[in-house]
Formats: sequence, C-alpha cells, structure tokens
Amino acid sequence: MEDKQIVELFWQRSEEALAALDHKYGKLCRALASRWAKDPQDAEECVNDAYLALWEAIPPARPEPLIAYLCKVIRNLSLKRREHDEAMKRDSRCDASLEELAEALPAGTDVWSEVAAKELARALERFLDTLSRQDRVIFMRRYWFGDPYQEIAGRVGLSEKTVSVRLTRLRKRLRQYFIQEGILS
Amino acid sequence: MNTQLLSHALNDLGEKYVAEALEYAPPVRQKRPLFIALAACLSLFIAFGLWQFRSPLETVTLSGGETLRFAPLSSVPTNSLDLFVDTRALTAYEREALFPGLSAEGFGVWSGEDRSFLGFEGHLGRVRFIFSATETLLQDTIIEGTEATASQDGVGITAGYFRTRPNSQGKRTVIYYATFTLNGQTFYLENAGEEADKDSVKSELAQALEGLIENGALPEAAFPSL
Repeated sequence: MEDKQIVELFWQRSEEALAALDHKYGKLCRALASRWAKDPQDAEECVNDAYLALWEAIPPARPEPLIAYLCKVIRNLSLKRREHDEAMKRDSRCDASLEELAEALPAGTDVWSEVAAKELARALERFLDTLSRQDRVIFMRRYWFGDPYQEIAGRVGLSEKTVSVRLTRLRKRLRQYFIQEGILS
Repeated sequence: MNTQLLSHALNDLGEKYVAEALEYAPPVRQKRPLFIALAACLSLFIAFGLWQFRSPLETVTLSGGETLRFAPLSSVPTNSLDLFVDTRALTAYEREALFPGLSAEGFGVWSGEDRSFLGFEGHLGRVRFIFSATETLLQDTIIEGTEATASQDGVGITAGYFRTRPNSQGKRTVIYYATFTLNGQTFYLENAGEEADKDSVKSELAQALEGLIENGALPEAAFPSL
C-alpha cells in the first residue's frame, strides 16, 4: 500500500491504518528501536508507542515521507525510555544532598538543553550539507540509526574498513566544523 | 559536549536526512547496459524475424484537441552507446523535484568520468521513459525519417509504432513511442501492449507525454548529484 493511502486511513480514523503501517514498516521499526532500546520488550513497546503517537498526530499532520517521520518518533521514544531507565538507576545511587540540590534548581535546565539541542541540530544539518551524499548516508546510518559498520558497508557498497576510515575522517571534519562555527573551542 | 545533548540534536535533524539514509542505494558502475531491456526486446523482434510492414498512421487525440499521429516504423535501427556511467535509484525527493506530480519511478544516470548528470531512465506508470539531460542520448533507438510529427502546446513531437507478427495465439504486440526536445533536453517515451488494447496503450502514452510537456524543460537546479 502506498504511504499516501496509509495516511489517508489515519485521516479516516480507520484502525486498518495501524495494520497497514505495521505490515509495511513493522520490521524496519523494530530493527531501529532495538538499536536504541535496552531490550526487545522495550523495543516492542517503543514501536507500539510510536504507532499510537502517529494515531494522535494524524490528523492534522500529513507526514511526508511517512517512514522518515515514523523513524524519528521511534528513535525519540527509544532514547527517552533509555534515558529514563538510566536516570532511575542513577537516582537509586544518588545521595540525599544531590536530590535536595536538584529540587532547588529551576526546571530551566531541560529547557536550556532543548534549545541547545535545536541549535546543535541546525549546525549538524549545515555540516551534513557540506558532505557528499554517500558520506552523509554513512554518517546518518552510524549515528542516527546506530547501524554497525558491517551493515553500513553492505548498504553503501564499500568495505567495512573503508567505512571505518570514512567515519574517522567525518568525526574529525565535524570537530573542525564545530570549532569554525564557534560551537567548540 | 555530552552524548545526551548530541543524541537529542541528532533526533532533531530534518526528515530529509533520515529519508535519504533510508532510501539510499549505492551507485552501480556499468558499461553500456543502458536501456538493455529495450535493446534485447528489439533484438528479439529482429532475431525472430518479426514481421514489419507498412501500416496506416495510428492516431490519438491529445487533451488540447491536437492529433498525435504515430507512423509505422519500417526498420529498427539502434544506436551503439559506449559510455561509462554510474547509476542509482533516485529518492522520492529527487524524483519529485525532477518530475513534479508525475509519480516517476526509476534511476538516475551520471557520467562515469566527470560525474555529471546525464539523465533518467524509468517509468511513468506503465510508460517507459528516458530523459536525456544533455546531447548524450541515453536511448539506443534511432528515431528519424519515417515518423509522424505533431505538436502539443507548440512542442514538436515525433511518434511512431511497431507491430509484431501474430504469436501462436494469433495476438500481436504493438509498441508506441514518442519523443520531443525542450531546451536541448530529450524526452523519450514508449508503451507496449496487446494490439487489442492499443487504444489504452496509446492514451497512457499520450497522458504521460502531456504531463511532461506541461512541466517543461527540467531546471538544472533539480538535477541530482551522484
């Protein structure tokens, strides 16, 4: 089924939309979630949460392309869940004084992070725009999708070693770019 | 810079970067098998002695009221293409930028030497379609001489058709083609089907033709890079 037809089913509030979405992209979604979630159960829950998020977002949204939008939701949910799990573990080890200090701090820390993340995202986009298409895909597959080198190599038609070297260079270029942009000193 | 911030920043990247990484297919280096399917198809016509003969002009009426006339082709000359090219499937974004609103499917072709964009080969629905962005024609069929010409929106169109001998079931295949040039860019379309369905075969071709002519010459800014 075409993506446009699936989106149309969402707009009609038909539950067939979820079945069609899962049929077409379920495997890809589970693979992506499993990269970032801590276990398969978490990954499955992230995928289900992402489907629910789409159900709530469409309408009014008309995501285009649908799969890129869905991947972003899954990655976001998977990371949030992992961060939450890690924070819970940290809390268990926190002493009382740190908890007091945390309570005393304004909630602005998160806001600051969100703004900083958005600015950093724009800088990353500018950096990505300077790359060749193949390098951009290698960068995204590694750092956005979390693919292992071997998988990236198969996907872009290069050897694993070449992908490894390419990524090392890309990280150096990124660091240099951030210095030029004044993001890193 | 902490990893959490970086991770959140990555998640905030535009969807186009995600889509590109999802759709990417590595370039395929090849020597000359451009349009190999058609070449093989045409060779079959010749090899099996498929019968070509003079037939009357075929016509289809375009939406603007003009009549597009298809002349019967008396021979099947082919052009030898000897190019090193790189190809890859185009993303949905790239296809839409090149052929807005036309649901084109296919792959881009680049020079294997200087990586310049040479064109596109694919389909518009059932209609096979080749776009040559430069003077280097990507189709290997020579179209000259006997074809009928017509115009749509002032654009000259050359069109013709083949008709095969009947097969063992007495059915013939017809292949209609049309080509036109805009600003040095060449568009070639071809559609085939059973002779019994020739009206729908012709009208599909005409519809694709009109869509392309309406879009006009392709802007160089829309040419994708390898």
